Amino acid sequence: MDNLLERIRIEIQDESRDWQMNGDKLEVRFPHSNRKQVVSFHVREGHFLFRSIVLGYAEVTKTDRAWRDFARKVWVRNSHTAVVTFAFDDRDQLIGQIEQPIRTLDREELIFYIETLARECDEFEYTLTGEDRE
Amino acid sequence: MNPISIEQAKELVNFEPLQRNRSANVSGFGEDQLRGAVMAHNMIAINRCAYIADEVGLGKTYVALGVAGFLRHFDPPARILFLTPRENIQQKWIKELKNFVRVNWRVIDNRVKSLQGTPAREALACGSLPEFAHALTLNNDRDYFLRMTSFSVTSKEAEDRRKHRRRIQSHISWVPSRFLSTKNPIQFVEGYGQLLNAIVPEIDLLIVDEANNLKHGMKGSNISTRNRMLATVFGRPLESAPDWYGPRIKNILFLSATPFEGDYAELYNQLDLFGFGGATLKDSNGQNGIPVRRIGDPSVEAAEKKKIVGRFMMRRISDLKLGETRFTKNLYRREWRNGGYGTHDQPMEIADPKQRLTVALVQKKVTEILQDDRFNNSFQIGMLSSFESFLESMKRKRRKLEEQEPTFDGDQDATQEERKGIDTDVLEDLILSYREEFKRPLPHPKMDVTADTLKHSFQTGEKALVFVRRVATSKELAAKISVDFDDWIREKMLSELPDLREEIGGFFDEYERSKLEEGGEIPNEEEDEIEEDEITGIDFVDEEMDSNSFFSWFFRGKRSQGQLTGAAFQRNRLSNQGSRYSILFEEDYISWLLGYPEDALKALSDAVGAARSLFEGRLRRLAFGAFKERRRNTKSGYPVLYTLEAYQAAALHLLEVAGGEIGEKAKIILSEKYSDMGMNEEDCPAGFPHPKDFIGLKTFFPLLMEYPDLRADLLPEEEGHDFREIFRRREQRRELLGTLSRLGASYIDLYILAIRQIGSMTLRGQAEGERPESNLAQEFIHLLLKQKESKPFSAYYELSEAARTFDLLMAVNFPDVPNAPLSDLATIYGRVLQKQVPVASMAGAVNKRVVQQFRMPGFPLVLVTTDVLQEGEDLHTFCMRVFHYGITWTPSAMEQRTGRVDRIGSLFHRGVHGVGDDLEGDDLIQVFYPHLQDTIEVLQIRRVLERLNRFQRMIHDVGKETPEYESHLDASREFLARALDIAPIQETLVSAFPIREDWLRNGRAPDKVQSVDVEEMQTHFRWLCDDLIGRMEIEERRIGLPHRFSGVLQISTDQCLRLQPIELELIAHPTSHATLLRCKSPIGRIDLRDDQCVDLLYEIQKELNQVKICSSYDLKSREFPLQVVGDILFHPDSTQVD
Repeated sequence: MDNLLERIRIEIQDESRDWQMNGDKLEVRFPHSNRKQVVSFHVREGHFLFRSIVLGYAEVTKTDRAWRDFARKVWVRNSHTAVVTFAFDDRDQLIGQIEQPIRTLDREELIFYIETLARECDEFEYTLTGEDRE
Repeated sequence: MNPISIEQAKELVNFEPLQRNRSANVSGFGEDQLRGAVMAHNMIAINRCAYIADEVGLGKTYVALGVAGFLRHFDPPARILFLTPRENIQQKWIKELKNFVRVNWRVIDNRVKSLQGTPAREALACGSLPEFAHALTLNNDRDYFLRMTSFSVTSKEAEDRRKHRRRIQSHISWVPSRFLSTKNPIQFVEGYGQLLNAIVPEIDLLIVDEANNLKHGMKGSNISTRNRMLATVFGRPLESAPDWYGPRIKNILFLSATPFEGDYAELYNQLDLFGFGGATLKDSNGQNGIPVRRIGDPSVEAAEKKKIVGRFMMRRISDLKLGETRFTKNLYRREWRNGGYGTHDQPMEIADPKQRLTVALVQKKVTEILQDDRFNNSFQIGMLSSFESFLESMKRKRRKLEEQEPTFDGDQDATQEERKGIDTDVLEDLILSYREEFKRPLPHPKMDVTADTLKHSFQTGEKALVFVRRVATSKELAAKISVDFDDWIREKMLSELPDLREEIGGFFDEYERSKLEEGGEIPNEEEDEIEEDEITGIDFVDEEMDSNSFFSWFFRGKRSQGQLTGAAFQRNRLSNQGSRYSILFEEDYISWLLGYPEDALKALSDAVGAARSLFEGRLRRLAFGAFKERRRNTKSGYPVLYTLEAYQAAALHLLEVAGGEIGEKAKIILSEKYSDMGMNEEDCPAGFPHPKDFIGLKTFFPLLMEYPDLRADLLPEEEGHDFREIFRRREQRRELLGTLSRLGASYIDLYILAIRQIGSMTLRGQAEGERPESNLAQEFIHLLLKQKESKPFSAYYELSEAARTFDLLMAVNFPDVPNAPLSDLATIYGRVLQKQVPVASMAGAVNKRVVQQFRMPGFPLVLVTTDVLQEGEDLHTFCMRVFHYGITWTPSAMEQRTGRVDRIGSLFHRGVHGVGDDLEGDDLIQVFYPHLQDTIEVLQIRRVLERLNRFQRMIHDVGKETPEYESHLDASREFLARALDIAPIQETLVSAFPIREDWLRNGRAPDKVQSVDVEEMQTHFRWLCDDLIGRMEIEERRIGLPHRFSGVLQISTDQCLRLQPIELELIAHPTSHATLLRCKSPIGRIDLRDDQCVDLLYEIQKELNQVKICSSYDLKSREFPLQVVGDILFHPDSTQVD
């Protein structure tokens, strides 16, 4: 994980990328819309998990009807989204996720996955809420 | 967005690809289109806007797609949105996009063109604004095609407004419901637009087709709902708006051959509508900006406005160089402006004194109504119904004025009464009175002369496109011409089947009786004799009885009453798998591969290297196994068509096993045609047919090989080295010819030949001999040879023209065929070519099938249509005659109409190629303006032609401008006025907005053109798949595509062996140039409307570590099929199975 975070810090030095580290999370900014999205990094069984929260627990579980409606939307949205998986985590948050074996993650993939994940999650968040919370 | 150079553009696109446009037989347009695309792109790069105002038919669509391609290639995440006038044009754009990417875009870049040769982004046509909103909530990164009519939201009634609010708010749930007030129509429309603006993303390029439709913009006191909605959806500045509201269009590209009617201000209105009213237009160096609003300022001189317009508009004109002479559009059209048909530019003659009296009487009545105080001697051009027909509208008599259906199609501004036709009521009294007195309809001389002129199409095959204004006229005129066709077909049948004159006469009598019974069907007294499940139904669809023509009734209708009508032969013989006729147009692939030997079975056994006696037995057992596997649901018996398929597959399998070059080819044919057939030998019953009946066929295509000249005309050899590609194209051609022979005009000849062989028209009649299909095929070939020597319209003409223009027909009518599975071809062709009629009419809405058929060389020969077809559709492939039977007011509409047949690749262009500059009158595109000189109609023709000339002078550098005209005519003044300028302009046209070199220079550092190494990708993909198969229990299914793998994974558990289908595919990532490797697997169907199912799935996806569950909705089954999908970035250097 440290190695991954170090690699990310190197990429931040590229001025064309509007990234900022907050602790061990990365904030990706979108200048043309003034929006941003936070990406977190995890390890599971030899894989990196890139994750970003679309909707928090409170919003998802507001009502029984609400979370089921979100679920339906999520599974349909998945049909139209490449690379990123939208799903619900153990804390019932709606997240976007990309999974990649640690051993074979190269630079091109790292940048691609972070940018794609942040963009897709930010757009989905806007579609569902009209806001920029995450 | 940076300007690009011609050199960069040439690397990316070829507007004139050699290998596919030969049948269009035109050249020289490609370079011009390329320069146009570069200029438009660079204008956008500097000024954020451009207007492609090319003449009709020069491929504006392709130029615009070129611009979009350049943008997307150098900026892969760019979002592009298309706005078209109507649904049929939406679909046309998507079709053209697919063609453009497949044929013209040179580079596989995963930005414009995917590895598969298809558009890298999904194209989606939205039928309404809620549909658009819903689609945006799923995926912002598709290429959306909208239609202007969607923005005309009905908002007068409160209930309508509430309904619209419910539909739209379900997709934008985070906006409070109180935001969209339904109290007031105008506020509602603006609120609705602002709501939609909330989810419209920033659009990098909006392409507006036929932008002239928006020429009024936001001007005036009566702004249309459509324009208001467009303005707010796309974020035109408002005085007060919610936080989320804002401009959404970064760049805009307009298309129209008639960008303005008579005032440059109309251009400003179009820009302003989309929020570009405050823009500044710079020169090609990006300097000296001028506010665009100056072109809308009446105090600014026309010359200065023209200069400003030149900063964002370009207009290419049709410039045909034949020999040493340059022909512009006005010079290669022959216009018949004085109303007649016989001798060029002479008036229409009415010889019959009774008809002349009728004309005079009607004119008197019309004049009287015009003198009424309501109208004060004036009328709106195009809105007098008497000029077209006298057909009474039954419905009009029963309804109140405000509930009446419109008499006229089209967008012309008109009052309710004008849309009804101000002379309609008074004429109806006259018509009824005449009918009561003389017991027959009131003659309409103009219609009668027109129908008489058009009937010659049946002899010559020359198609005619007839525009009318009145909805009823379209049917009436078509019916009148159909009567002539009925006479023609009667004569043909009687002369070619002299022994059956009595039966034929009986059919015509029955048809006449059925017409008299007001369209009621004479009841069938016998049931059809064929089992339903033995009828393919693919290329024959029952038609409701159409009493408008004998042709429809006899060749397409349902009834048979125990007799072998054209429809019954189609249904019971050609489409019935149990009949030998069902294989009439099937190919014998074995004979083809082995070079059509005399004894095909022997040649096959030699090729396989087996003794014949043993070989035939094995072949039979294999064929039976294949038959059983594919046709499990067939009732007893061995339908001929299915048995043929089984034998062909079995024989191909044996050739494949034998190996060698022929074995490789056999393998390819198997994967393309019979991939779902297993090859297991099975003991076969005694009744299963023998191989000799199905190897070495003498059906149409094998027999055609014995006539090389005819074969070259109908099924030319394919060029190239890739056998799969050669085979696929050959099959595409073969299926097309077979479908045309069964469903097209050629079927008349085929049917007559069959009946002649059978010798009777009774349902149970049979031809002699065991191979009636071979006999019929031979006779058909002999007939085609005979027809080849003569000129008239015939089966040979239809089939040979279809073969000659095959690539053009694929591009205009069947864009999906090149990539479609061969098993789908019969359905694709059948869907388009079914229900043909010799004379078609269209009103109210576009009938896509009829439009596609009109683009084929056969039926319909005459298409009578209202203004629904005046823009968007290409009708040029086999037509070069346009009749403006009903005139329309605007030059743009008139130009659009004629432009339907005057386009690149048209019959005219193909015909004049190589002619030199010696063009005769009949070689030109014919444009008719039929009217009677002795009537008020001459006034409106005169006015419209004057306006047409004025428009030409404004948009070209030719002659002086003439004054503006109004759409209303004062009859009393106009009769006295001198005839002004109505003759066609005879000078060579020069564009006022030509392509300029200063816009083609690239002043900045060029971006490099990027491409994908396809071979490397496919090789690595194949290696991965083979590695996967080696490591896991996967059985590969035949797909034969280099970038897709389909297999079944075997999973052993304690309880059982499970089989799980999986598919791997290389796809383009939609917003970058990356290639993805996608793996997907179906996991079942559930009902997501059921909460319990949702709960269960929710828990499962958590348990399985957030597996990617994808659902869609199946309209047919009303279920939600589920898949699990995974994507990773794919790179030949790094992607591994691990």
